[in-house]
This record gives sequence, C-alpha cells and structure tokens, in this order.
Amino acid sequence: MAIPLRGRSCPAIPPLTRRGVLAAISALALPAPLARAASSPDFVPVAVPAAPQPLPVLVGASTAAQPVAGQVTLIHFFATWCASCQAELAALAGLHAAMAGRPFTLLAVDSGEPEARVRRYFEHHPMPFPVLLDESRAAMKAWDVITFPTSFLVAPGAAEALKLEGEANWADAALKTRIASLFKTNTASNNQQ
Amino acid sequence: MNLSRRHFLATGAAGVAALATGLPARAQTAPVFAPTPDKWRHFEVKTKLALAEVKGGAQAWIPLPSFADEAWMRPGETTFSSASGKVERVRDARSGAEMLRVRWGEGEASPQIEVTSRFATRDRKGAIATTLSDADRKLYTAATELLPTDGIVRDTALKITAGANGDEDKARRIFEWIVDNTFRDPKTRGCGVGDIAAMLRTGNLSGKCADLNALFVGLARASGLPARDIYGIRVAPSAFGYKSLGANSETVTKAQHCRAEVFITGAGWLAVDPADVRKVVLEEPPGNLAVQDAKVAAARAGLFGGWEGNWLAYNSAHDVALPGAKGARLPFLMYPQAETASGGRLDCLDPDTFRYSITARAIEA
Repeated sequence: MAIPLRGRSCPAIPPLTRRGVLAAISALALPAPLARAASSPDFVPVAVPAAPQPLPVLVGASTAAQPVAGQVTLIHFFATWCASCQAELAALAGLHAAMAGRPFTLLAVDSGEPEARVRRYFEHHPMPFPVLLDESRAAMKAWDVITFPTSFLVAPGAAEALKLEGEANWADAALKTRIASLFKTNTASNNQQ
Repeated sequence: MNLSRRHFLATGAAGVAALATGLPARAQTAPVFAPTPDKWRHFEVKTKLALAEVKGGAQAWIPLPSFADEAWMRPGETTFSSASGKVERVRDARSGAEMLRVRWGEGEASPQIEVTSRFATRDRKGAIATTLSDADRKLYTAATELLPTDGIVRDTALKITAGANGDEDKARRIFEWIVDNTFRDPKTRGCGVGDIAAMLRTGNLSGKCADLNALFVGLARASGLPARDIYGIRVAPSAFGYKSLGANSETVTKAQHCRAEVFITGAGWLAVDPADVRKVVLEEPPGNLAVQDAKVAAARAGLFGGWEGNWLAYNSAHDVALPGAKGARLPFLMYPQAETASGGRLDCLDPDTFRYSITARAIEA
C-alpha cells in the first residue's frame, strides 16, 4: 500500500511514497533523496535557465516557461494525475486573484501529458492563469524538475529563481510576504534606473 | 475464470486442471511458476479505434507485432478494415517498430478502423543462444531520453554490481535489487513512464512495468550489459494459476505490459520481469503478499531467465517519433496513438474517451 509522504508531492511520475524513500535510503547507501520541508516552504536558489522554446498554451498564444520582463513570475510545474497538484492549482487561483493589479505573472506548466488529457481536465477545473503544454518535457528538463509540483519564483530581472519542490500553502502569510519582497526588489530596481 | 474454448485449448494441461477443480492450478500444493519453451501458442489481437468528435481531420498509429525471435516470438499477418482514411504500414527506422498509420481527412467526423494481427509465441526459459553485433551492443547499451546511463543511474548500477562475477551475476543482482527495493503502485497511470533518473533522485522507486523494468534496463545498460525493454500486451491467462500474471478475459484494452531482456555474453538474451514479481506481491490473491510468500518466491525464481508465452511483444522501441505526427516523441510505443487537428494528441491511457478497445483470443495454428 502506498503511503503518501505528507501528501506533499508527486515526484517523478507516480506519487512519492515513504516506502520508496526508505527503500532508496536503505538500499546500498544510495544517494539520499532530496529533503523536503515539513512546514514552511523551503526555497532553494537556482539559476534561471536559458530561454526555453515557446510552448502551446491551452487558451491563447504560445508562451515560453520563462520569467516575464518587469514581473514577479511564478512558474509552476504540475501534472493532472498528481493529486496534491490538483489541490494546489485551486490555491494558486486564489493567489492569482490576490495579486491582481500587481506586476505578477503565474505560468502553470503541465509536463509529460497529451494535450487532450490536459484540456479535458481544465474543462472541468477552469483556471484564471495560462496553462502551458510541455508534452515533450522540454521545459521540465530545462528547469531540472524531477517532482510535481515544483514552483519557481523569479524577481524581475533576477538571474536566480527560488525553487520550491513539493506542495506549498499559497495562502500562507509568510509566503505572501516572501512574494511581496520580490515586488520590493522590482521597485528598488526601477528606482535605480 | 472466464475462458473461451480457444483459450481453454491454449492453456494446456495446467489450464485443464484449473478448470476441472475450479481452483488455480496446483493451489493445493506448493506454487509452481515454471515456464517451459515447448508448444507454440497462436493468438489473434484485434484493435478497434472509433475516435469521437473529430473536427478538421485526424491521424492514428496502431502498434503492430514487430518483435521477432525464432525462439519465442513470430509476428504474423495483419489485416485491417476501415471505411475511410488512408492506411499505410510504417516503421520506426531506429528500432524497427512497426505501426499502422491512418490519416483521415477534414470531412471525416467519426473515423474508425479495426486492425487484426496474428502472432505465435511460447514460454521462455534460459538464455537464447545468439551473438550480438557491435552495432546492436552499442544500441542496447545506449542511453535513451528517460534512461540515462550516467550520473545517479551509473552510480547506483556500480554499487549494485560491485564484485559481481560475470554478466549473469550482474544481471541477477540488478534483478534482485529491483525486487527488493521497488514496489508496484496501483495508482500509477497506465504502465508508468519510466523516468528512471527521477525515480532514483527522488527515492520514489514505485511504479508499474514501464518504471520498474525500465529501471532494470537502465541499470543493466549503465553497468555495461546490453538490455532492452520489450513493450507488449497480455493476451491469455497464466497457465500456472497466477491471476496477476495473465489476461483473464478476451478484453485486453488495459492489459499492456512490458518485459525486459538482458544479454549475457557467451549465453545470449535472457528474459527477465522483475516488475511482475512486484505485481504478484501486490495483486496475487489474497493480495499484499510478503516477499517470502511461496507464490512470490516461485514467480521470483521463474521470472529471472523466463516468462510465460501469454503475452504479445510489439516492439523494443524507445524515443519513438511517430511518422507524420505533430506531437512529442513517445518514450515507448505500447498503446494506440492519435492526433486530431482540433485537439492535438489524444490520451492513450483513457481508452473510453479516446475510444479504442483491444481484444485477444487464442486461435488454431
């Protein structure tokens, strides 16, 4: 029986399980699996990859999974089969609404799934933000994503992104403060120009 | 069990015993799983596509039996029936995987095709003596998009096989490691995807055959052993009474299964299926068996070096670019595929929405 690890994420393709983690740890002293935060989001700075190819979008023009100039950009990788991703998409809709009027862009990237499956899912669960179709996993590779969900927060003009593997509580005050600090980066940057 | 007469004839003595008693064969005694390459079995597999709500044209690709080995797998004739569309038999140049490509024009709102393929197969036990060309050795030790042979895959493979005495010992150690450290996750969609580096990096060693057997193949290749996944579909019940290791009705729409082979220098291709050992652990009644259970032990012994001839091998292709497709390359070709002009690539893991069905039956030679 699979036991979800805090129900937090869906690594690789199937859901992450405690048993799988233990197996990897115990077996032949394999490299330890990535640690995951139990409570507060655990952001890790990573380099923003070179501009990936534009991807088809469920509704609208093709868009690349990359930071948008002048905006705080949240690039969120997920898959429709990932149970914790489904819950998080709804939370992201709330964040998107909370950020209305501010220089904030949310790009949700579905990786490794055929268009028909993704389209069918969002017909039943419409979202207010663009959903990019990364069927070939090219964007997933470019961002070195190995677990769903994985999110990247990027301040305007930043060379580094803040990477968060696993589920996040996007309604959390501390997390919103973190995002707000990136707006300040934006303001400071603008003031210097 | 719900066996047709043709299945009945094909299951042989063990099947007769199972039907006579109403119990799995040898249920009263120690479990036996001992594939033996004796009789050839002949089957017919029928794939029906009926795409729904198509606008602006569509095309489809149906995998055909195209893996051939005189020792155990003989693809036969394929016929098709379609009221419309342009049909051609196409081949993936790199792997030799064959498929039927069908193109329907803009005016076709409900494209349909029925594809019937015949093949013969039989049990395997022991290596199939053959040599391997340099080109094939290179092909079957190469990395694929989802099976890297460097980094964590290589590191893991070297740890597993350290101190091994020859190719077969290496292969056995990898097989036993897969059985001991992975598990079948019933929630995995389809047969899984097989992103083995992600599995090792996250420590999530769960999945289904396309994950667990791909892990075997990747680890084998990374340790220098030629190996390959073979993608196919179960077509008949297990003659050894293993409910989890066979197709238990003529409808096999969701019975896709992939197995693996590893090449032992001086011996030949050896059949392995560690994923099916984990399937026995999870699914064989009463379910959630201990690894030490006698049913598991018998399957574990039999599935290193053998398997049952109740399964169709389509191909051993990786990274398949469907000829003429607009969508992404496939990690493997085991399901019917289709694209529509209006909706892109259809979801091959959702046959009821895609609209396909597959049936299989045993036939006379």
